[in-house]
Amino acid sequence: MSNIDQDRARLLRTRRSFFRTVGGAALGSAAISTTLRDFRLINSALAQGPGAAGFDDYKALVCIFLNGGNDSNNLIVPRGAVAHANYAAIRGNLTIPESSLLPITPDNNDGNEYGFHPLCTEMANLFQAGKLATVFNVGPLLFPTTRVQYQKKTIALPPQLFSHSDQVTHWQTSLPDQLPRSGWGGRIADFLHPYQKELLAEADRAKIALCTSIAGSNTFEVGNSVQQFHVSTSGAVVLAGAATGSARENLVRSLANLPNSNLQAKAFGDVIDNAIAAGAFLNDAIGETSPSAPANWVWNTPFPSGSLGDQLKMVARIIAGRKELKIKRQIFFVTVGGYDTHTSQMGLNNDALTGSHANLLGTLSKAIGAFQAAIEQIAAHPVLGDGPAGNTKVANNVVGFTASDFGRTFPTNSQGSDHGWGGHHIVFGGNGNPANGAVIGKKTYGRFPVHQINGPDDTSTGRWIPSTSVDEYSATLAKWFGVSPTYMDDVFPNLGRFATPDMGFMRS
Amino acid sequence: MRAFAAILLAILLVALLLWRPWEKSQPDATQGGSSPTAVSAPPSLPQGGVVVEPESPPAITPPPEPKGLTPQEVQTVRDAIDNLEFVFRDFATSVGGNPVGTNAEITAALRGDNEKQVKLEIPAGSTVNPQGELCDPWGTPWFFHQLSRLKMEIRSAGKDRELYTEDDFVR
Repeated sequence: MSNIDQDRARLLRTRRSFFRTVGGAALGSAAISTTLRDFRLINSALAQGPGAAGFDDYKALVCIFLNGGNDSNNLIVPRGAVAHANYAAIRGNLTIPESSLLPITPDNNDGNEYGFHPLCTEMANLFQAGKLATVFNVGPLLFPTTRVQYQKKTIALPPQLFSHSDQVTHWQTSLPDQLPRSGWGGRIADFLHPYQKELLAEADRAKIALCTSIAGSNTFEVGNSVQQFHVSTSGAVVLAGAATGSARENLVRSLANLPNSNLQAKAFGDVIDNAIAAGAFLNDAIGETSPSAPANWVWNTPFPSGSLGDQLKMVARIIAGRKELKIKRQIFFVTVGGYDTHTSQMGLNNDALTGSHANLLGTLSKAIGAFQAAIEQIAAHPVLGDGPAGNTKVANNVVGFTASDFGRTFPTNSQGSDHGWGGHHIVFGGNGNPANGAVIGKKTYGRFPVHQINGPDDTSTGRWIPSTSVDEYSATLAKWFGVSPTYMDDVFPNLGRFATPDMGFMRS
Repeated sequence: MRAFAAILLAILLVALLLWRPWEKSQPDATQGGSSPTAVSAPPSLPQGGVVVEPESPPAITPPPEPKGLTPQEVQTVRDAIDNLEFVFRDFATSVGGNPVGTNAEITAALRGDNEKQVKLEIPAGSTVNPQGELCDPWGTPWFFHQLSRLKMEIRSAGKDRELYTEDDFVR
């Protein structure tokens, strides 16, 4: 080889080694930066949260997602001669007669009188008992928005307003101006997860993930690092077709645990084994509340038959098993469809007590009533409760809330209502004690829209421009759940754009 | 050796910049109040995680064949919807998604009232009524059921000009 060739060869070696070194450095710096970021989060968590000992109480947040867009204009209806006549004049054949409404008497006075849909007896009773609050006209927003801004197009709006899937995503991510990477439930879990996992000794760690869905995969519970745990209405599906402890399950677990020099194969085996173990653990933990258990468990207030009742029943059973699961914070997701009531919203001859929407609201109310009763039954149970009889700690630490694609148009389309924007929602739970109840109930929150077409709250056709953003609604729940103020901007990056980061309906 | 030292130094500098130990965490007192806060710039995308597919829209059951329409009428409304679909496709390609809102808002968007000011022709087979609504061959406003960014159910009220009756044509 000539001198020139030798020089070239050296140059080639140098280039190669340069790329190798730079590649290694890039990987190394990425790993270090990720680790440092995690250290920052953990340090911050320790400084702001309950500390390395984890939570000393239990809290659960239950999201009931009403798929299709609930016509909440008929969930909470104005009472009083003038207000109801105005409502009826615009709603037309969707009107619920004032005499049928279930009156409520809020502790606060916003100048209106209200009543619940006639089939929502349980909700009205919970409201009157101080265990339920209503939040008016909530919806996804990028910024506080007025009618003038909407009409003149001088304000950014959530993309694809009025389309089902986009609005569902906006509600569940609370980040309408970003690609949907995570839900706000999942982001809460990202921050609280270490307190019941990594920061605790092995024996004290939670046996399942913080986020549990009884309705399959959903955006709400997708975290940046925490994954959701799926449970069916009859328990965890551990291994399809194989009973817990069966020879088949044992065989699969043995295979999963075989020593393997291939790290990927070993990790896969660990995932399979952990999934089976977690599922079996959950099924064991909810065994006490099984109707086939030796004690023949019976719920004092039966859940309504159907999907929503079954889902909430499973949530209650998992909460009953919380001690065995060693879990201190849980976020649940359940969903029920059929709310897209363009047609058949009312019954024959516009009967308010029949028709698809009445059936949906009736079932929702019964399911919420049964769920609240179930939590109180668990709290009073000598084993599943928190302690001495009368200690209703669990009952005061489980809170449910509704969410939906959107509200619906206020005027009738002759057979139902069409896609709207803002809608009314309910938050329920707690012990109803005005001094220490988790939900500060028997009150209305937010601003009830002016029932006027082309009025100050209307885009143009009876679609209410939300006066409360999903961020404000959700952040109020998150604060009660244990998200420290320092984390709030990470969980709800747009919250700072709105005036009321804590709406006051939770005792935080 | 010198290259190795330089790379190590660079890594440490990057790490230090990311760690930012000189920054203090924000005090709690600044959070949680109820006073209005300044409008912040849109935040950057969150770290990590995967892009979640938007929720799937409600399942669409195949629409029944319209009753009471002659084959010629069915063909007419079918052609009109075909043309509508082309216009929506062009709109979505240009603007990034279907137009949304009421029929009048959707029609206005097709005619240029959109963020990119894309103007499209009124599709053949449809007309625009005095309220600015896009109408089917019988002069009734089309009903646009917005399912997702790129999916829309289009319904013609049919010859009886009443929605949700047996002669409706749906796609």
